[in-house]
Amino acid sequence: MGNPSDVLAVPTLSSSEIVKRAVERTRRDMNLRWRITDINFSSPDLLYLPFYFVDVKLSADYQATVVVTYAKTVYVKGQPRTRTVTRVARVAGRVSLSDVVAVLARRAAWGLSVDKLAEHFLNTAPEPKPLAEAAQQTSSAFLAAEITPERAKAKAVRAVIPRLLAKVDEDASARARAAVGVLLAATFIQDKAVDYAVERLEASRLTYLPLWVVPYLYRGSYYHYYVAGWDGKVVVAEEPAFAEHRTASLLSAVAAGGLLGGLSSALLYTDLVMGSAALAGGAVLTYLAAGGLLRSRRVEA
Amino acid sequence: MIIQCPYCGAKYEAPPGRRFYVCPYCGTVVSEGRVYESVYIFKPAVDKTDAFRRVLNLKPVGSPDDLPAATPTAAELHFVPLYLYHITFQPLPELETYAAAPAVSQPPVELPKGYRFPVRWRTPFKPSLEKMGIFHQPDLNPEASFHALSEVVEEARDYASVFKVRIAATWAFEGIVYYPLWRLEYQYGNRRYTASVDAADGTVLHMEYPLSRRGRSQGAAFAAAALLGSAALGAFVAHWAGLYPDMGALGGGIASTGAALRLAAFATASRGRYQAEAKL
Repeated sequence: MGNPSDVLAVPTLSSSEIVKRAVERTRRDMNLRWRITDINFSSPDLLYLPFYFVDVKLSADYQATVVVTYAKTVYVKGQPRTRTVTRVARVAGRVSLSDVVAVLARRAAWGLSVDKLAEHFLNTAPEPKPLAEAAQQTSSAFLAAEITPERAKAKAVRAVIPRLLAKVDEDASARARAAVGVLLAATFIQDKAVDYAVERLEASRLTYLPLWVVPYLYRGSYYHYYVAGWDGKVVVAEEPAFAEHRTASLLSAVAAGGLLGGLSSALLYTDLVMGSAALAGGAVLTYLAAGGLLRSRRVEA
Repeated sequence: MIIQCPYCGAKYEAPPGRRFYVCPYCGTVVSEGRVYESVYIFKPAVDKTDAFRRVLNLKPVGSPDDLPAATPTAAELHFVPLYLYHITFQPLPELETYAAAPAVSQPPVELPKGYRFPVRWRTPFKPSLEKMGIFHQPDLNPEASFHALSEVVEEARDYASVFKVRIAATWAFEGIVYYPLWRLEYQYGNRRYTASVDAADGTVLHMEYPLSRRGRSQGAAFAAAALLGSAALGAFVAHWAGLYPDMGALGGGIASTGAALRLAAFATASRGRYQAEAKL
């Protein structure tokens, strides 16, 4: 995927340093620090993951029809009355959005650790070096890049467009409120036409980021830390679900069931539909909360 | 109908009417008189012992403490065929890409939703590798499988629309990639359980497991605690609102049925089931 001399890689700490950072993190962890005597770390594996960092700036000219609903106080025979007013405003404007999007240069779906690794890279900005320098430390851990920089640009644009459209909605709502002359009002975008323009779209050179997978054994079962290679920060930690987590899930289920159930008993007197909806909502929420009781692992990111 | 492979000479039976036929012995693909020799394989990085270790040490909730001592009884290495495509877009050829999609309608093991396969790091297939495991023959046409890659095309269309360009996607069938998956069976007590593991990266995809008495009791206790706790809180809320507490207790009890039924189903299930969720 491109000329190897154009490829960059971020140098990594040594495996012993990575394990040391993992142990330090365990000592600080609220749940694991009390169980550290039961934890044994194994030798970590290094993966170099290929990324493109795409600098993208998009703008959108739009025309939108916005329904604005607000409450107005009127005085009838000297008495204040609240009325709901609905007005339609046609607005136009231009918004832009710029961002650096990290695109994993592989099609296989990696997960949370990769997203967090890229986020940590953008926050800490370590200096990448030519690939040859980093490869002196290791040679077999580089995962092949599967997509071209152009394809990475396509992925970045696709990632940014929903956020740009959300910004269009936000801007159109603000303009519609201003047009109607109210500051507090509910808005609904009835219709919009958006014309995009690309102001900047540049992909970085292919950049390899080091991700260490550090396994640890806790009571006969393996869990993993995912560690950024350049500074030893644990970006994602897989941990056992302990009694305290199960208790929290149980309390969530009890709170959802009790509050919505109690509320429904009050609502059933006045509004049968709302009361039934509160009961059904409670049942759904408690079902979801019970999922936490059936999970043996949890993820801290 | 009987087909003779033009590469290794083996004869195999295949249902008539298909556009593509794959030799089960060497993987050579024949289609409309053309031979596709581009057959690749992802070599398994996880062996049988390691796959069992990953499954039995996973310890899903409610499993017995001595599960790692369960007896492995069977291990099959299945190679799932994937079609490899080279997708190009006109007039934006720079968006070209390779992608792979499952070539079978029923994979030998259940795959998590949206499971995507890599395309790089494949190695050319050699007939000698055929002894490594069970090679499945595609039963989907490449045209049908390509629909699974709609995201790749949509992504390019979204990109092109920003530049106000209309693109046409065309794909070329590049060959077949075999992807390894372990299907495992183990015995605990008198019962047998199955599990599956991605043999390329070691992810446990799914697992059946025995539920210990302690696990079942915990499930039942949690169900009762959710029910009683919600009823008590519901009574308190109703009392606070100036209503009859017993109505609130009833409401709380009904609202907690979601949790109670889920936990009771777990406690009374004949076996536990684990499925891979978000990939780390």
